[in-house]
Amino acid sequence: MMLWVGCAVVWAGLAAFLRIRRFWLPYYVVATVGFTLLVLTAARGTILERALESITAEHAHIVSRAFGIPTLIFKNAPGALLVLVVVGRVGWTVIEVGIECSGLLEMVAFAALLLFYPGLGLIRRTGLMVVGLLATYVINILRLLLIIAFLHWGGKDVIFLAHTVVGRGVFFVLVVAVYWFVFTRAALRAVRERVERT
Amino acid sequence: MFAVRTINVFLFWGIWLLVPLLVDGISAVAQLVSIYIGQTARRRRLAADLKETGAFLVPGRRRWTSRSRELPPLQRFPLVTVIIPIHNGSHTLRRTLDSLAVQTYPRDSMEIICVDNGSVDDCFKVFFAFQTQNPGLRVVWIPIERPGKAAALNAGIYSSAGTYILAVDADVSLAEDAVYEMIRSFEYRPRLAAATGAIAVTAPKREPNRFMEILHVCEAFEYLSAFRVGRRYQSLVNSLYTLSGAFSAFRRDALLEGSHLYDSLTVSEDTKLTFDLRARVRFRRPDATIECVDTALAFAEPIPSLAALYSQRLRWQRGQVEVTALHSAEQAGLSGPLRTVSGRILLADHTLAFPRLIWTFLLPFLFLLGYSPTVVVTAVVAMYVAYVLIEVLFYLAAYHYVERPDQAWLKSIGWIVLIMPLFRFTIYWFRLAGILHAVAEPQRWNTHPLDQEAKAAKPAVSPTRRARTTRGG
Repeated sequence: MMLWVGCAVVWAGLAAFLRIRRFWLPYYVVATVGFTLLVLTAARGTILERALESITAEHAHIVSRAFGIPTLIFKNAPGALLVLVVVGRVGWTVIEVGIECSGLLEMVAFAALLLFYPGLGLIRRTGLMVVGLLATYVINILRLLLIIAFLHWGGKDVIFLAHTVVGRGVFFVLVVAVYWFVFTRAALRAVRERVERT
Repeated sequence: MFAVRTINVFLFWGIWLLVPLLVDGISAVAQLVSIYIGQTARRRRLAADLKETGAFLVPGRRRWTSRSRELPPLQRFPLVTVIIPIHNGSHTLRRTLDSLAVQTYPRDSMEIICVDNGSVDDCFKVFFAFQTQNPGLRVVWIPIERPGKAAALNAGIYSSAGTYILAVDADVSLAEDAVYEMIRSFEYRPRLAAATGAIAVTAPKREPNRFMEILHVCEAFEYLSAFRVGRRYQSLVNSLYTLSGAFSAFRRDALLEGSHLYDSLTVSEDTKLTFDLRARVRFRRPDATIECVDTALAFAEPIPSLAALYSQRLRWQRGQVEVTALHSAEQAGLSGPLRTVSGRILLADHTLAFPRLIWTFLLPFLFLLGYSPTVVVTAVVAMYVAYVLIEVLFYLAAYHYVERPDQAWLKSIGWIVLIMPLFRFTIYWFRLAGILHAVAEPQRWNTHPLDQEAKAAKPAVSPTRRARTTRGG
């Protein structure tokens, strides 16, 4: 704990120094990477991580049932999602919604990148943060839904394809769209406004 | 199990780093395709252009190479104005002027306008000596008060009399047939509204050290790959991104129509003009094109230091963001980033830069998620190998593009495919700095190297006069 606090103080001091001196590249790298690592190490194994995992599993469960794919969640294992596999009479199989599936890493990374991105006003930054995090969460649920559908109809053999290739690919494409609207479009707008003012 | 976990890191987490690779890979494949399949399309387009002028394509040279001569010889030699914007260019100006003096294009059909905006060195003496030694060449000197390259170029354009206007940087030298080749393209291709020459980096006479030697080889290969082979692909799809500030040419009426020329709104006046011109010329002639004439070759000096490279790339990236911002209507809607070349370039250079930044540093920390360091290191090595393979594609495209002397040079630097991923990775950080500067600093923020930047940042940021970097890409 003391080590974490020490690292946080050093990080904050260094980031503030670089920000004040307008060393934009080192500032942005130190601020975003440091923030992400500090939040992840603080959240790892805590109730926050478990809560996000169980909420993600719960929402994936609700959505998949809405699409007619039977899934189950046990109260004693809230992050574990049971999926009915209908191929080869396998029966129920389990998806463990861990840190990889919860989207925690991606959301923290996104938040860090936006939080320390220079040139955005507070209101615009806050709005983009809310929209971006919400969109990342929804996209992650969609990714889980894809994995569940693959597992349900394709069986356990397709789990690698579903998890690492298709699910990740779809997640990636949609998240890049979010990054485009949050970072690139916002930057274009801010730069255009400034150039037109001068 | 080890393999599965490695592939998992490689594909699942490494995707943020792999996608820039995929973008490069698509570019490399597009370049290769444009060399082979694109040749037919290009010759068809050339034949259609020539039909309009009553000439025919020179038969025989089927392979599309940088020096192919497909057009017939010029029958007339219209007046050409060469404009050289100068700001403290005494060290390089003579070389530029000498390269113009030995052009195969007739001297009496050329005028050279040197526009000086506030030089404090001996460049006028250099000009005067050249003028004295070349009495048969029309060379004039115009000093202007207003700072900035854009103002200098505009002053030159308004003083010009040529049917064609060429803009040449004061630190660039032209191949002896560059003007002839450029004008030949315009004369036989009525659709061509503006064009950029092919820019190559010259090898320095003496390298200061091994590091700079490798850096210069990387830069030369990058110029060949991106600015010669790459621009030819952009020409093929009529979406040239930049009319290089180093060497560009314009049909006079296309440039002066609407009478807004270069402007200082962005730090990339050449890219801005390209975007403006593309929008404008299509009103005049819907099938008008802006292309790279790869037979018109210009030679640029290699970058003098890593700090200068940082400064240059920061300015390019900042310019890209500013120019695209002013033309952001092109990127409107959901398909905006994919519809246009500028959108796709911005997506690769800007949007993907953010996740790439964070995952470059997060990947080594995946042991926090239970991955062993061996797995992470293996995945990183696999990524490097993938990047090398993409460089091999770029190398092959470049090799098939150039003619024999350059092929021999490429053969001698085959090892470059191992170094280029590291060079591009370094460039990525320089460009990221440009992305941040574009939103964080005032428009005329000085794009000085890091050490100067530190000095400039001390009291407060003042809009200092932008460093005149006349090298173009």
